Amino acid sequence: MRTMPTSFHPTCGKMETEPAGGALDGVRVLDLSHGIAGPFAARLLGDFGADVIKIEKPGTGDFARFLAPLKSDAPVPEQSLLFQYLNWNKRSVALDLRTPQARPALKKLVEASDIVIESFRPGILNGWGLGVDRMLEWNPRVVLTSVTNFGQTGPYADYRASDLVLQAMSGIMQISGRVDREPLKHGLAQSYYCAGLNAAYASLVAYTAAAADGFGEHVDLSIHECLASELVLNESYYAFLGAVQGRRAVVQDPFAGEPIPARKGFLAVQTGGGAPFEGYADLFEREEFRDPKFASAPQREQLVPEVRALLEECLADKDAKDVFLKGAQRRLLVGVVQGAEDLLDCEHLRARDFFIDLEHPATGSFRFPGELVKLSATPMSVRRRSPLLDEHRFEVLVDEIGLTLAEVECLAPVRARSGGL
Amino acid sequence: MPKKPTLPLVGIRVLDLSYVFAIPYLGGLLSDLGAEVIKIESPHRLDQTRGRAFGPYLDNDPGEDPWNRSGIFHVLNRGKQSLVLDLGQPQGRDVFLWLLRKSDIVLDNYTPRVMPKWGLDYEELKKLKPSLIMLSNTGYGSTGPWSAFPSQGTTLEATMGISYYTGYRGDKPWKVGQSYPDFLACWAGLSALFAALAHMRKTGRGQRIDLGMYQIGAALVAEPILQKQLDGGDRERIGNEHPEHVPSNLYRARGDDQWMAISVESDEQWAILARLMNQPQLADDERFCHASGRRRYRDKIDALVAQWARERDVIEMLGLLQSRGIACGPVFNARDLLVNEHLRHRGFYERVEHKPPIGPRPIIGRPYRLRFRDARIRKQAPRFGEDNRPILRDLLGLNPEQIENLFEAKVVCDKPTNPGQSGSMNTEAMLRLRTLAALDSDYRSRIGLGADNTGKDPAADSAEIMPPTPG
Repeated sequence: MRTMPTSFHPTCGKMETEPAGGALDGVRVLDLSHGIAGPFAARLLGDFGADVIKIEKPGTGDFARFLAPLKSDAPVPEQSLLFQYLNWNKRSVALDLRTPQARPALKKLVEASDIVIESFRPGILNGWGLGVDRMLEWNPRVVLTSVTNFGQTGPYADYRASDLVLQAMSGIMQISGRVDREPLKHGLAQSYYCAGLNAAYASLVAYTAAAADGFGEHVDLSIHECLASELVLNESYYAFLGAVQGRRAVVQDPFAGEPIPARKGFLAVQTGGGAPFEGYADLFEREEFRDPKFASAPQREQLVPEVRALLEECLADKDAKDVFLKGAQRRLLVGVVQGAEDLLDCEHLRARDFFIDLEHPATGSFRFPGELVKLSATPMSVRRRSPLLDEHRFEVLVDEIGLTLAEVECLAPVRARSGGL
Repeated sequence: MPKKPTLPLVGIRVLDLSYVFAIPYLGGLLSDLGAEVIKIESPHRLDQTRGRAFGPYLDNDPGEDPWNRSGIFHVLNRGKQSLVLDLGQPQGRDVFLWLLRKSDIVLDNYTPRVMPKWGLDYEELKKLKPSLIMLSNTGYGSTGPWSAFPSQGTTLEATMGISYYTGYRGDKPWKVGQSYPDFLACWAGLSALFAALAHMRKTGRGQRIDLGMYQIGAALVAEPILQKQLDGGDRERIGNEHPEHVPSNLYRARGDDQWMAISVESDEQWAILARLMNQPQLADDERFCHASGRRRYRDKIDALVAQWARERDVIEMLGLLQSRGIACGPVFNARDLLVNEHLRHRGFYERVEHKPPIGPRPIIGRPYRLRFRDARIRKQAPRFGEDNRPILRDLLGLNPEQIENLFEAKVVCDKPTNPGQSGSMNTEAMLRLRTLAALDSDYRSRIGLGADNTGKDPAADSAEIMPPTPG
């Protein structure tokens, strides 16, 4: 994000000079969510310029404060680097939403918000008297986005889930992995990031409408359905043909994108995209690739051991990244398997100013993936590091929504404030 | 101010120049939200999703007009109009610019050199329309040393970091799902587009959105990027396991290719599962009762759960474990999902009427419900060039002679000039390889579409053509 390195002063958590405005300048977001999906969505709105206030459970805060990677010599609950990634551009206030004392503060916060994001299990907020109807009563223009595993309604509404369970039930695993082995999930915690991307856009869908017509909205987002939305091919195989897709064949054309080992790393190669297959003959300086018997995927399917042996031989003395660069320059569809270190070193991401360094008082400085998308007039930006738990209690509750100091003091014991666990 | 809640994009017109998955899907979703979306297609370069590369054709039959019969095209491009326009000709560009003056948003996914080559880059277009929002999606973004590289989802998934962390334990990196990076780009693009729209409505000024798919993926592997800096460590590929929770894995269940995901996330849940497995002694076993112990004995724990799950039905386990608060669920296939009671209750698949021969079909809706606004699929995806004449006549006000001249000059076309090869999928071979798990001749009645063509076996028509493995 271009504005960061010059204008960000991490130790005080504020911009010294205001950068070019964000697209959502003036939009106020209240983040009641926890974990990955909801907070990531709220952060993205913050990156677009919205002012985000995060409400956390007193004492321990958002449970993402305990998600790895953890810097174990930092004070609890400020150890999680993942939490920092998901919560910059936010201010933190600790409020125990279960207690009646929190009600007046929350009411004022909802009144002052355009978008509220929550990720409690269905019915929980309502049980505390803070459901969507109450919020709309307080602020008829507010958008409430609820991010849950299976949505607010339907037979699975109360079901528990994990990233694995969501990937299984969405259908993605049915088509992933090899037919003679078990289905395979995406690595890490992809479900929740997918849901975060969707929750950000769905919140803006409703906000855009509410800003125009004055009517608030409840967005009931299902993480399960976010993943099921990816299966546009799989679904139409059945809906138009009655075909149930399976996993990948044991033996498949190595030019279908499966990573192939090189001397160093793995290369992924794919045909199509306009460049003729013979381009591989030039890339590897091997005339065999001009043989018409290799020209199409169905032909190669018949000769898989031969094609694979040839390709692996070509790669045996090469680094995957070199082949990737040379192949892509020849306009071939190639990819190179990259891990964290490769991404951190990537010359292209560097040229795009993708990574940002953020100083945090509890952990020191780390380098984070930054800008998702480049907007020419209103660039995304990181204007403040992630907050310490309850760091902005007085700034938000007293200075901005007008509670008295006494009212704030009786909300929760002061010992529950930042770093005091 | 309107008297009732309104969709956010009513009155917004979108020119969609994009191909394949990511941005066509984005455009389709915009039409669900009230936008008028005109898909501008090239007469010479068929959208791959209209063609054999992705298919599948209706009942595996390419018919007379295969480009109007592809299933995936209908999912991605629902609600749009189609104008077939040759932007390679100056007159084609003129038509585009006339349309541009009447539009709000342009979507494209050409590599960065194409639109400038035609003089249609953002800097030129905004002179005609200062409020224009233009979203350009590319593999690597419009700047940087890799910006001209070609890309598609499959190979990008490797490059963007996801594949490195995906795969069976001890095995090579894997790609998973269907063109995952395309969906990430679609969703990230929608956020950026709505943010830009909010800015435009406030200020009257448009902007360019440079959506590079590579970096979106790199933003979703933050955990190992931070771990690497913290202690130099890297995450290994662990298949379906969880780094901390045990048991959390996929277990074979009763029946053909049935699998159950079970995630135990606390010691208490482990005790509950042990009792459900009728092995209460495991709950008290000191080796297993704490998470750290279960991690140490991961293989043993997995074997115990696998043995229990092997003889049980997935739906039985789903009810049993969920009622005790344990996260679990079966690996569903396309058929399971289309008849799934939960998704049906939520209206996730929308029944969309299509003109013959397609008829009604379930189409993927959106992963969220709005309480007050009627977001839904407006109509079926367009046939190739279906809206050529209405757009030229009604939107641009051209007279019949001008319209005929455009057809004469092949600036606007009703048929693709280069439709490429069409053919049926070799479903028999796919069934043999098990890349198709099943082919249901009675699928229509199963998903509530009425009678089936019982006399016809789709596999009987198979040509010697295999589709590429889905990207």
